[in-house]
Amino acid sequence: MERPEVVERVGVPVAAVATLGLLVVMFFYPVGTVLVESIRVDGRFSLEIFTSILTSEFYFGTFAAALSDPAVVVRSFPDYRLGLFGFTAWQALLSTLASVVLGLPGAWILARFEFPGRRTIRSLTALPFVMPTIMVAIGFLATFGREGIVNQALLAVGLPRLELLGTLQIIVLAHAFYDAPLIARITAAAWEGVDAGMPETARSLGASRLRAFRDVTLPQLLPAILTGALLTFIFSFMSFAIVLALGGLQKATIEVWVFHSVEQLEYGTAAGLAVLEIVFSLALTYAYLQYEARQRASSAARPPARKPLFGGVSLDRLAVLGYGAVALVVFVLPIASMVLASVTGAEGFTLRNYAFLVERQTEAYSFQVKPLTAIQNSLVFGAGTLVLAVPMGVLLAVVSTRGFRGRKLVDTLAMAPFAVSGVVVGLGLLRGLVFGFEAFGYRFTVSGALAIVAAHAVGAYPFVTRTVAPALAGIDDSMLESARSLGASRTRVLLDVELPIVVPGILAGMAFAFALSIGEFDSTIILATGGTEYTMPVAMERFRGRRLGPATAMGCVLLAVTAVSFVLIDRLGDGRGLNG
Amino acid sequence: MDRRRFIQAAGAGLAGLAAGCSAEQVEDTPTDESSDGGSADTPTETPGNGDSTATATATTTPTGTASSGTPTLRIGTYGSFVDAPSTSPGGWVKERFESEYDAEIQWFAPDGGMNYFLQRRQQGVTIDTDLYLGLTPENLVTADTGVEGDDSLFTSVDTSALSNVSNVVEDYYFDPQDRAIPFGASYISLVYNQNALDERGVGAPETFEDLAADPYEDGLLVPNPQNSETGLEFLFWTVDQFGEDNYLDYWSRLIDNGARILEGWSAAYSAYSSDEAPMVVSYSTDQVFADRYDQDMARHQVGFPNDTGYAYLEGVAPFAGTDRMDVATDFIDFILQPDIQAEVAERNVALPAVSNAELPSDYDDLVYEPETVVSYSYDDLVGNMDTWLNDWSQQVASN
Repeated sequence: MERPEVVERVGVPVAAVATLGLLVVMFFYPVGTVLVESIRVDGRFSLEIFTSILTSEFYFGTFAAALSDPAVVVRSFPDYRLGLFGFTAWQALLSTLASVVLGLPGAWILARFEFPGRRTIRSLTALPFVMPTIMVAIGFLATFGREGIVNQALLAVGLPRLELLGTLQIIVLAHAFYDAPLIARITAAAWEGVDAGMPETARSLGASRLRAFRDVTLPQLLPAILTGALLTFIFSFMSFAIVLALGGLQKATIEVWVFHSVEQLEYGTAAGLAVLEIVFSLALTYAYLQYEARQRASSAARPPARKPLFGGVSLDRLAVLGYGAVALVVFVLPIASMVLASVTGAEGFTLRNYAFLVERQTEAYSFQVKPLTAIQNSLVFGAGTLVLAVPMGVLLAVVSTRGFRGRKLVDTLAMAPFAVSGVVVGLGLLRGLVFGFEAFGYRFTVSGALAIVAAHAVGAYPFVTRTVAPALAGIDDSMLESARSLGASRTRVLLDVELPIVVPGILAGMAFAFALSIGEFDSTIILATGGTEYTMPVAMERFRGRRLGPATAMGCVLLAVTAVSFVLIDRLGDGRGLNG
Repeated sequence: MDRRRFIQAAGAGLAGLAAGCSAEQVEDTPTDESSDGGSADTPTETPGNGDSTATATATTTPTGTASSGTPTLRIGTYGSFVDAPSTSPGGWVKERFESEYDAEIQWFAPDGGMNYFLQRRQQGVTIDTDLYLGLTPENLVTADTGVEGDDSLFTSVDTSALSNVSNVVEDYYFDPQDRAIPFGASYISLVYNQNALDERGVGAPETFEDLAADPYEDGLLVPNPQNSETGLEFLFWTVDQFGEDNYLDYWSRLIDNGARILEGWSAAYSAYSSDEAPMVVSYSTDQVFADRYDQDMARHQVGFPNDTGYAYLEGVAPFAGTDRMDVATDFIDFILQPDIQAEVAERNVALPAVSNAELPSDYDDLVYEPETVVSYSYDDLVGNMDTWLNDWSQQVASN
């Protein structure tokens, strides 16, 4: 196919500028309008807000007290107050440990065993991550609540009840629900990239299985594991809706306070806390990028052989069984409980909740939330998210694989949405774009729907980049060099050689972006003010009244839509690219 | 993909994006021409219907366009008034009003309630809405402290045009500036499950101290005062009962006893319905709902600790700057009519604000009123509300 020369020459730079422009409009400007409140007190520049936060015992515990009186460190040993930041970091650390512990065995099973449905399960590992918090909260209530499935099972066997809701444990478990499958997926992908020859060589030289794993395989997996752990830490650190829903206000994190300050219209405090969160998270994101660079192993000469999962009894299979039982309780049961709760009522099996959805759809007033409209909106916003996020994400991935000075900084800035909460993004888009800005005597505004798509795209494009960049970096350089030596321009190499190879990565990123958009709640609820722009998670929230029934029915619909679209898009990639 | 299809796709995408943007000409305001003309803080006192200002764009997003036909009244309210999964009066009110008056109602329930409109005012954006229905004293305090100078978010209505206003219960008035007209009320109370308490071997809770005592351990669900009126007024209730100096101590005992603070009224109530705990902070009109849906009354017992209950008052007020004052007054007149009051009260699971509403005969049996009513007035709340809430929040979330 012939392209005009101008595309060949300026294709990538123009696309880069366009992406940068979009990022500024959709992300940096809106978030900037919110964050600037942290240095503005009564219209003047002031660092008052930061000093008051940093010296507040409520936020920083003993550390803050030590700033004015260092002796306090000695005096109050060992009862240090964590403060809100300390507690947030602590629960994030515990969540990370739990996620790694629960995720690694899953990675082992995905990478080393063969069983029917393996590829579908691998697709579905990213599903928990994109589920809206309201669904997870309801699922966990139905599973681990006082009258939940777990307690009913325990009582049936004669064991005492577990009071899990309102504790730190349940929050950690919920975070593990979100992140352990992700860790499993990332680690399994890396495991499949380990050349089988190396551990085999080690074994032939006399090493035991365990030693071969520990000394040969594990070091190659470590970058991937640490990547997953860092991601988990950042997401758990920024978590708020799950914390509030399952732990209550007593277990509040920083983000809970950002949300509270925003609701009270105290933007100074909210912005100050958000800035501190961002600084902390960006520092960690920068560290994550360093590890990710080392994770870019080239495709294996020979991936390790898989063992069949079903067969005779062996130590391996017993371990799989044990893990399977745990995975069932932690990952499948909350979802299953929600599905079960949607067809259960006081009188046993009932379709009343689904009847409610149908009734709503047919009889509701225009100002009421209708299920079908919610589904349509979610799908449309998802498609809009793809239009924005995929090109941006792919382009940033391309930029990040080119070497130039300051690339790491560009990378970190491009990954900034990881570090900024959905509440701040939503608020920024509301004030910056939906309320509009004045220029030349006109007020420019953006509709709520477009702002919602922008919010979703901002949250989704980092994932596209993070799935495509490793794939791009893993392309054998000699292939690209051959193309260039045959006369292809850089743009041509990109469009005709590199991108087609990483199509599976792009599709995986697309699946992620679409699912993230469907499950997004924090920004959407702030921006869906028009009354007709509600999505499925917002509808779930609206349907939660005195009883959970209608909300669970809507949740099942959301689950079905997300799962189907996710598996569809992800599986489109099978059979394409190099490993087809 | 060939070039034409690519350009088509890109063009379609761009057109889609552009369709969401709009520009409106900003009216010159005589007030507050501050140093930078383009500052977003310039209050644009545009009338309620934003489209009546000069528009100079291709695409605008019309809100409540009034053609030469029926006027549209845009009313802001809280979500459950129009869109609760079980029962809400919004639809019925709309139909009834539209059958009696030559006007159209457009309900608008943004997440964040009254704060959404306050935000718009603070940012200098048109409010585009004529009335707010569901104002509480706390909302008014927030609205009044959140605007500059004497600019009020709300305005008052000519009460001589309200035929039934003389029957509004005197005690329900809560706005010293007479903007908000009361239209509904209820009492914050405990709702408890007698069956669950019987299983524990305890009776109904009689006092606040009971709630913090061992027999009622892990027993109470409280909606978060930070984002729920119910929880906030429960907090005020404890401030009244224990005094400003001791309520925090009470709360630390209450929380040590296992009381949980969940993110909103529906989260708390739905957890209560799922038997997470035997008691929840809710409304004393609970049995109206239970009766309508044939529930087990033992699960809907109403309790007034210390024989007191907190008065939950709601009012309706027009937004300042609305150009539909006549229709707005008609609406307020309409909603104060005895038969309308009765119907709204039933559908909203609340009490009417007028004394001559014709409620069904068994309504009195289902609604409980406390011996002593606790209530903080607007003047009590100004200056104190934020302090109480912040002190409380910090104590609860402290680690």
